[in-house]
Amino acid sequence: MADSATTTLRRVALIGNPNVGKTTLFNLLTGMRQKVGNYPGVTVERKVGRLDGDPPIEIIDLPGSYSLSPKSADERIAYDVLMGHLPGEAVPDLVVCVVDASNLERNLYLVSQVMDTGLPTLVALNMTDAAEEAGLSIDTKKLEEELGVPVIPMVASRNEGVGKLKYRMRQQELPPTAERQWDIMPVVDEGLPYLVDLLTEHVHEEGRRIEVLQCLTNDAMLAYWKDRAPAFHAAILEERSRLEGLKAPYQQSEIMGRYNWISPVVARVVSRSRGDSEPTLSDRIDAVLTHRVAGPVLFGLLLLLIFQAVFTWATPAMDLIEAGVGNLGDLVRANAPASMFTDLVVDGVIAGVGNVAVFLPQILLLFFFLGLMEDTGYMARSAFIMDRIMSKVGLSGGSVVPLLSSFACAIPGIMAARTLANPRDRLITIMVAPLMSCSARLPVYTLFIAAFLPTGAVLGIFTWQGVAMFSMYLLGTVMAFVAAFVLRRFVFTKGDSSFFAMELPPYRMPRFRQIFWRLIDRSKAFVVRAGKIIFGMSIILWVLATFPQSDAPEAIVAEQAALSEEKAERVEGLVNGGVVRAEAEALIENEFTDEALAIEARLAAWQVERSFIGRMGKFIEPVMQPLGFDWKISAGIISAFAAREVIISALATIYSVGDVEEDSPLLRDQLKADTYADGSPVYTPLVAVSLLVFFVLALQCMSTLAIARRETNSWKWPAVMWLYMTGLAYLFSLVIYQGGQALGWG
Amino acid sequence: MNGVVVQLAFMSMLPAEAARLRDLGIREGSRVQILRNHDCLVCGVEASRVVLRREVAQNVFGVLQPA
Repeated sequence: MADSATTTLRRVALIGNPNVGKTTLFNLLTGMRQKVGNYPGVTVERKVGRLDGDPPIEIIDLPGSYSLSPKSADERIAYDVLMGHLPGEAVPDLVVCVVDASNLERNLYLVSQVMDTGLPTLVALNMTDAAEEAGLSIDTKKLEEELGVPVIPMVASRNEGVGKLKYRMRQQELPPTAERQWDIMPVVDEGLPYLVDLLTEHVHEEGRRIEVLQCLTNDAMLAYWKDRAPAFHAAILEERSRLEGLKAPYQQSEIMGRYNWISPVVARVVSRSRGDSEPTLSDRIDAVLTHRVAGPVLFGLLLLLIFQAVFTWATPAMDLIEAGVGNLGDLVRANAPASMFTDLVVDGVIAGVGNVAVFLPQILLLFFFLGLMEDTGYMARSAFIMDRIMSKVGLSGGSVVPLLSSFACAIPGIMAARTLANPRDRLITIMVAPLMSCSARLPVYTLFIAAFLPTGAVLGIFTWQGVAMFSMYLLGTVMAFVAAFVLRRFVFTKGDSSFFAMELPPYRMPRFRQIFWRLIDRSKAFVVRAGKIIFGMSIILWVLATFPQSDAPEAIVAEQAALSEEKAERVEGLVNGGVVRAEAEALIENEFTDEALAIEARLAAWQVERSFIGRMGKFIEPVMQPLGFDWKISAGIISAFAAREVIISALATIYSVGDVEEDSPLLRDQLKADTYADGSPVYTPLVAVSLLVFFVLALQCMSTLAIARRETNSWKWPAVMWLYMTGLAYLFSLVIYQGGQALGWG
Repeated sequence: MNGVVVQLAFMSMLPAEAARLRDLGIREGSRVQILRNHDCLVCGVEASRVVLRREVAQNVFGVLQPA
């Protein structure tokens, strides 16, 4: 952060309502020269890019905000950046307000607030094409005169008007600070000068008045000053009491004052050629997609199709990566000298990382579909469609977007819950979000479904395996709803949760370029994760599976000795019969390969069973056995508490180190071939289902716990989350395995 | 009721909830067109579409405008 504070580049902040094309404009201005990080101390994304040219400009993409009266952490950041409240984050030199031309009145509310911060302001009047389609004609010259700031009409999605904006941003002389043109009700106005004076030492002159207005109506904003300017804090509380005593509607005074100015401005600059009543294309699509009966059915079908596609479309790419991983291992084994280091590379790193990397195509497909839903505007509709169901469990449709985001990863899902205004709804959403099946579970689902569940078509278009995959997601979703209901009914019993209001953005054609770049970002994140966590864990797991090295048991040593003796005798017999010694040795070695491998496999299995990981698995095996899990699965589950997909690396390492007999490099083949001492298979379809259900419900992700701690500001809720989810996982797997056995499905 | 236009007069709800509605353009004095009225109300506010749960909409009062 410090670099941006000390930079000599001109700093331009982009601000605007959600869905006004701000991110499209940011991408156009900065291309690939973007850096994404977090603002200090908060998990709000900080997107900064660079507009090359003369002079180069640093562009900050502020979170979408309806106003500078923040109601969420995202909106608060936008305000704090403009007011210079963030340590290490310099106040921008220029603010570009991106405005939706088809929704001018509401958008100008934010513009009027930005103008009041005293920062030089430009208005980027975007989506003028949509305004024309809606029958609106805007006199931009007149608007410029009325506002007192430059207005640049544009259609960012078609790259129209962006050149002019760049030119204005680069001009040496910044636009002058606009004069305030609106008035607040007199009873509020008369108290302002004294309060403004109290901020003299803390806020630049132009920004003091807006700071006072925000603190007058917003407790969170006022809290910022409690220790920084106690006299101001006390004076605001006194002023609130005075206004309440006078029964003055001061909470609405700012909005009324601003709109009393904005509405006539809009009336003067906008002419309409169409009435209110004509439905738009989005309205007509919504009549079907958000229909009270058809809407939920179509939503369910869409999800089913997505999971089916994720399962089947990714197969060719996965096969390719799988073959590549196998070949790479063989190549290293063939060319490197036999040593413990080679074992580490092949059995630890290549098997561990490779077996997780195989699932990249599926994860990308899932992200692609989620990106498509978001980009077309359907994601917002899902909140609307699901509100009726969500209200039954005590939440609102607003929780749907965080929950759907959790299909990708619980971390952005938990962070997206910050958009919920109701603190109780937010906490419940955070508590149940990890039950939604994230992409880290996908490798586990795929491995066990592909290995142990039947293939075959359902209704011609689906397969049993696709339906099984959908069922995993459905189970997690249903359990999230049940958990939300229980939490609402028995834990968070106070308060009302009837509030639900949101904007439905118009439908639009997906911008595949943006989706593509987002996919690149996601795949980078996945590869880096595989490269760091999984790579590190793979090495640790290999060490745990290889050490301590135990002395071989006498019986196996005796068997090995007997085999060597027999081989030596046979070689001597052949040599005495006239065969060349080297040829005789090769012949006998070949003849006894199977016996030698069998002994080696028993030795390797014996070794891995006594390794650290084996001991860990054996230690908890009695607890996990009722769920159908042997010590290897148990050891995998222990390692998966760091991150779910680590179970794949763990099983790959255990089987690579401990199973030299299995020819196939594919983990699923190794799992299928694994047997208990009595010859019965370790993995049956029932064990696979029990394990799948365990992974649907258990909370095995350190990062999720850490982010939940950060968002709830306590370890209490992450601890409750871990306990209830692990308890649920154990209970459900127990019932499924024991029930299945009782019914003879074992 | 679908298609009617209402000029909003006042909102009877918690200040924070009213503030959120005002942010979305549902505010005292604004003209709102009711597009659909089922479990949720879909309103047209200028060119934008805002959806409100019925219980929320019941606390927003306005005057019906002539067609």
